Amino acid sequence: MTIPNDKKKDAPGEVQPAYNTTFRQRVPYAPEELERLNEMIRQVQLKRVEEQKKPK
Amino acid sequence: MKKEQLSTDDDLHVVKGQEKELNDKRLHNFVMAISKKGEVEKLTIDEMIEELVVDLPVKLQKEMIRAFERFQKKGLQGADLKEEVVEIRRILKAVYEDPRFEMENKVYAKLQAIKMIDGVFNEENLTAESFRKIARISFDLNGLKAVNDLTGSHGQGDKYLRLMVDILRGDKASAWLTQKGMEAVITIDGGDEFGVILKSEDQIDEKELNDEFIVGIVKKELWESEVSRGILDFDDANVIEAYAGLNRGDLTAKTAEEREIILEEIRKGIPDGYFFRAAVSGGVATLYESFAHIEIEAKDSYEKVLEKAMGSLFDLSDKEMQVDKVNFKVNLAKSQDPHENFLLKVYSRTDSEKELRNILDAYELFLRNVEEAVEEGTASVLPKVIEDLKKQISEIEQRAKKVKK
Repeated sequence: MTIPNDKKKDAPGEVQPAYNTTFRQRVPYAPEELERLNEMIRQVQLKRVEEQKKPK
Repeated sequence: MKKEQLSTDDDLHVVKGQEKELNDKRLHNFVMAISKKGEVEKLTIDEMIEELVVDLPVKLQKEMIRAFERFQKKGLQGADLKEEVVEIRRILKAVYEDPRFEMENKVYAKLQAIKMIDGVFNEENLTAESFRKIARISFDLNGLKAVNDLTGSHGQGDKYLRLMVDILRGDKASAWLTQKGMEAVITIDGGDEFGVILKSEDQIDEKELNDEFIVGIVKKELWESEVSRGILDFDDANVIEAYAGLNRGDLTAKTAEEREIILEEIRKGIPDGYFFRAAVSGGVATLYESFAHIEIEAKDSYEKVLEKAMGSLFDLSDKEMQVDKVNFKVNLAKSQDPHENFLLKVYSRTDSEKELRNILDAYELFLRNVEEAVEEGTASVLPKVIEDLKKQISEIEQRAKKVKK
């Protein structure tokens, strides 16, 4: 799900403190994963409509 | 929940039995704010109650409203009604606040996250990209246990936590969040953990959030804080002794001279001019990627889906924080700076001790169970097992002592 970014290049002589860790950039969704996500969104919307129909 | 800061008002002093609460300025201001709001905006009692309970889970909201209805039936008004408002607020504080820092807790964070997610789900043109508008940052202070263990109390540990609270609530953090147009809910999530739930009108750039906010402000301010130097003071002989795994009993029998010789020996392992630096690990996740980790089942209610989405957001940001913690320790180990190498030793000492303590606790629990079985006459062959276990425990204790040294 994640890939490391290229490590930040320090300026000559500059040392990054230990807390400055490398950020892990996410890999974009593959088309089939995005399709699944969109299907989930459709389900959420249906459930939300059902919820709104319920008597309060 | 609204927390307008208003000038103090002596009106509350007429409320009987509320002297303790009167000392709580924030609570006093809250009650005043609600009352003032009612006067200014001509709110009805019902609307004021709604103002109080708007952030509560539905079940608790109903309980609170029923309580108010009972008060109204009793004909309470004025100071008496305020007394009840104070009571209700006390309950809210207990549910939602960490009393040590008057900061909202994880229960509140989860509730607010669900409300934000619900808001996104209600968008007219909802797409997967809309999920990038919500993010959570998981923070975990590094070395809190070491601070508590080496100072022998929680006083310095509380200072460490307070430092983190002040940075998260500080001008730099607030200014950055405001500049980016982000609504932030900052909470202390128990122990050494903190969380920030973020909601933006635009998509949140995780790398920017990490580089500019987590690293550029929170981590940097902690690391460079003058306060952190005093949290764990390696000029303090007691801290040095504790670091070396010495008990008070080990040294009380020694003369002052002998004690100084021992301390000097320990100091040789500490870099010159060493001072403790506060550090935090942080991980970020947006709803966009965390949502893909859940399964929506046909039987799930809408509320259940909201809970799953919230849970996934929390889990993924926590996992990212754990990865960051490992990376931080790797950086400390690989660093050319002996001060950074030493910081890892301070952490590791307590980590190893904790690990061994857990094993030991597990053995001791097992041993107690076995002893009970023997006493009840249900396990005549067990005395031999007990002896073996006692030997193992003794060996582990020896290992623990070696780790300390």
